[in-house]
Amino acid sequence: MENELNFYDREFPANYEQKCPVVVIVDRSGSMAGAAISELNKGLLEFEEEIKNDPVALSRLDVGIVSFGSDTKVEREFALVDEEAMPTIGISGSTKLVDGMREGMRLLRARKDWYKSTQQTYYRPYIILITDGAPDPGQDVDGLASEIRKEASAKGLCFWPIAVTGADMNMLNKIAVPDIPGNLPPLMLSGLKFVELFKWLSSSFTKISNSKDGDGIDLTPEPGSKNPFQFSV
Amino acid sequence: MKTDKVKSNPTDDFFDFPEINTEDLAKEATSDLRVKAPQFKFVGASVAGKGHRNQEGKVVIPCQDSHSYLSFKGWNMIVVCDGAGSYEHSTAGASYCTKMLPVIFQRKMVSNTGFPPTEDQWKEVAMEVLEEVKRGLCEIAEEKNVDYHTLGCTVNLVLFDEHVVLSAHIGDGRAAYKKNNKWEAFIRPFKGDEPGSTVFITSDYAWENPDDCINTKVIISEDSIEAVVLLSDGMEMYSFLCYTKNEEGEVYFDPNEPFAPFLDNNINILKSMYEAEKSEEAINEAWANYLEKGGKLSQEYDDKTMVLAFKL
Repeated sequence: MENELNFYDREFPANYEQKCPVVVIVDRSGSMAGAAISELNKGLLEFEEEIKNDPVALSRLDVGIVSFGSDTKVEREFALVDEEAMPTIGISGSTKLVDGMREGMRLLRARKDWYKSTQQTYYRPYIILITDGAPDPGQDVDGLASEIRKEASAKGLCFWPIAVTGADMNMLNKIAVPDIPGNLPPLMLSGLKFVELFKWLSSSFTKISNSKDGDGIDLTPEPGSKNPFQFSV
Repeated sequence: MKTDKVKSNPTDDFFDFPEINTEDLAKEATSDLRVKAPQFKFVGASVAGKGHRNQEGKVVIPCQDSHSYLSFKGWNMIVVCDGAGSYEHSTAGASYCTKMLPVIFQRKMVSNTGFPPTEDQWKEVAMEVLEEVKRGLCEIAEEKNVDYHTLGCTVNLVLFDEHVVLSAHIGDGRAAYKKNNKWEAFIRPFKGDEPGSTVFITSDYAWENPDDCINTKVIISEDSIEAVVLLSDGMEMYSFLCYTKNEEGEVYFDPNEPFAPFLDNNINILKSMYEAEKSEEAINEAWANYLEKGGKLSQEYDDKTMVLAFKL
């Protein structure tokens, strides 16, 4: 019925897609050992599979991954989901959260510089932080809070912090900027529902990468067991 | 003399349109100076995109695109408007613009004598009309006690005959005409920094920077114009080459190049439907069905509008 009249349905113009950059910054400190890191790694694979099911999101989502423990590591340089496999995150020591966030923001800045040098337009970038602890003593949380607010206010990024059981909520509330449109308050993960979390993230970014600037987007997770958070979002 | 009604897609019930007697407007034409408009046939549709539908395909957010087309005083006119996604009453704003622009142009334009306006003359008329439509939106907003910006939409319009194209536009969307078997674009969309961002007829920025944001053009073609197309940005990825790399592969740019296979193939199908004496309504319905469900088009999240005019 859709094309009984043989309207055009062959090769379309070879247009590129506009990129939607997302950095996932992951806590791999010792407290994430065992079930937590195992479920998180499953969640990353789930994210990959879900994005591959949407052709537009697959061609737009530009994903980088940074982890932090006793040091920081770029686990995945920016690339489309099907250009490079998702990494397996290991465990390492303490919680240099501020350093991890700054490394993620540095990675994002470099990516935006590349977009600009090649005259590519891009969606407002997203930073997703996943942590179950508190930053090591001496980490510059106030400085980080100021940097995030400055970038978000200039529409340079949207920040979504995800708290796993044990996370320092005072610290997360300090660095979050939910008063700025597009940003979220700290969201408390329900148990170890990382797979559900990454399903929600893939659904959200599928909607975002298909939207236009200014569109209102409903990010409400599905209710019941599919909701990865302790409370309604 | 019978005058065609303005043909446009359905509107919401945000406001009541005034009664307009188009036959009275037609009486203003002077018959001995009027150049008969060539016999262009029109096909147009505006459909809600995937982002406005639920999983069953049912429309849950009204289509924010709108279009109209009309022939009068020796001119053919097409209007395409795309309501701003985030604005509450943009569907109504787009509907108002597509209905009122042809009406006001009928009142203001003299009959087509075969001598086209200059760039300055056309710009003056177009700006007057756009300002009048903007004032109309302000009055509606005041009457309904809403912020008039919430009625925001892009505006793309063209008046044409066999040798002249007059265009005006605010915002994104694209347009092209065909002559000598070759398509040429005559509108370059205004694109903001972020994908999908643009200006609207209600944007303060547009009226403060009209040279950048409100574009008018006069094209005079010695060769006969064979077809014209206007579209909202929801259709641009399928009918234009609009985001590609340069020859060296280093930099991305918008060549704004109409994609002939899509346009020509579809016009041929539509022509055959007219030649088979299908009704205009049936042809428009088939075209709407294709825009909504046709192959790759069915995956497009944005609302889609395309209006084609062609000679049989």
